[in-house]
Amino acid sequence: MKLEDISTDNIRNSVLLPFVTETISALQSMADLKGTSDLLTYHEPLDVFAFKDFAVSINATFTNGVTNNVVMNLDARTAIIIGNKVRSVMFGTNEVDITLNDANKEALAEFLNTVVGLATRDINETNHKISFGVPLYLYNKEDSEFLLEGIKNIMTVPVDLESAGRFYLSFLVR
Amino acid sequence: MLDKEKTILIVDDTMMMREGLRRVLALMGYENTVQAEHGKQALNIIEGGKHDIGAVFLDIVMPVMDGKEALRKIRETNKELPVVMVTSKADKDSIVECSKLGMSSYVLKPINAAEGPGILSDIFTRL
Repeated sequence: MKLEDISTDNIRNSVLLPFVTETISALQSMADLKGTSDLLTYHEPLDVFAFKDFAVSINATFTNGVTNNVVMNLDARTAIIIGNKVRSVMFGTNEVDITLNDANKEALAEFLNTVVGLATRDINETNHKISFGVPLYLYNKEDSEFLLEGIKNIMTVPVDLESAGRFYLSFLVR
Repeated sequence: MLDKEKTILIVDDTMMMREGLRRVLALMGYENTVQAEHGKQALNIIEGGKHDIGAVFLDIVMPVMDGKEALRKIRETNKELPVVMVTSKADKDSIVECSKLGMSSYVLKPINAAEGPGILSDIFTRL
């Protein structure tokens, strides 16, 4: 099976599963948060993408030259909770900011950088090679609209957090 | 063991990572730290001579000048200064490369308040 054959099963198993697995692992190690996803059991990804309050997009370029996007999409409440928890674990304090301020955005950025790094390692240890770009941070719906240009397929995976809501990992395929 | 009177240079493009490491070092009694956002700034601090730098914590992926290039330049003039590379679990290839360039040790990100002091103590005993 080649990754260039953009089938749902292929993307699901080769890209989404590593991202979801590493996201849940990083939630535990970096934020002391327990995350779960139906994708790890049997559910198929959703075929929708709707911008929430904060998103991070990473270009994922396949060996056929096509650039797709992996997007982490969060509402403000969930983003703030994750940001606060990442900083609390790192600093050994109890961070309780109530806004998505620069400190929380930076904490989320570091969290997502870690997820991308680990997922990239997993994916590239298979025979698939995907080149990932640097994270791009999106703060409103208008800024996110370019992501949908030329998109042929959308695969979205909800990740549920214990007492902290839900966020979404989407793979936008061109 | 690293002399606590000396200054430790923390180099990372992320403020949160610099602050996290500064707090861990303070918990260990290393109060003298100075920070840089990229390799070029770090070299300026080392060469400036204003601080008595005892060790450097150097992130690998940074803008302007990355950690590998900064390490290479440090080693051109200073073979003795302890340089600890800071990297993610995913970047095994970079660790091998930095080892060839003369790094003293490495530590995996993220360094948190609970585990950081123990991890860094182990490293400091070997420097």
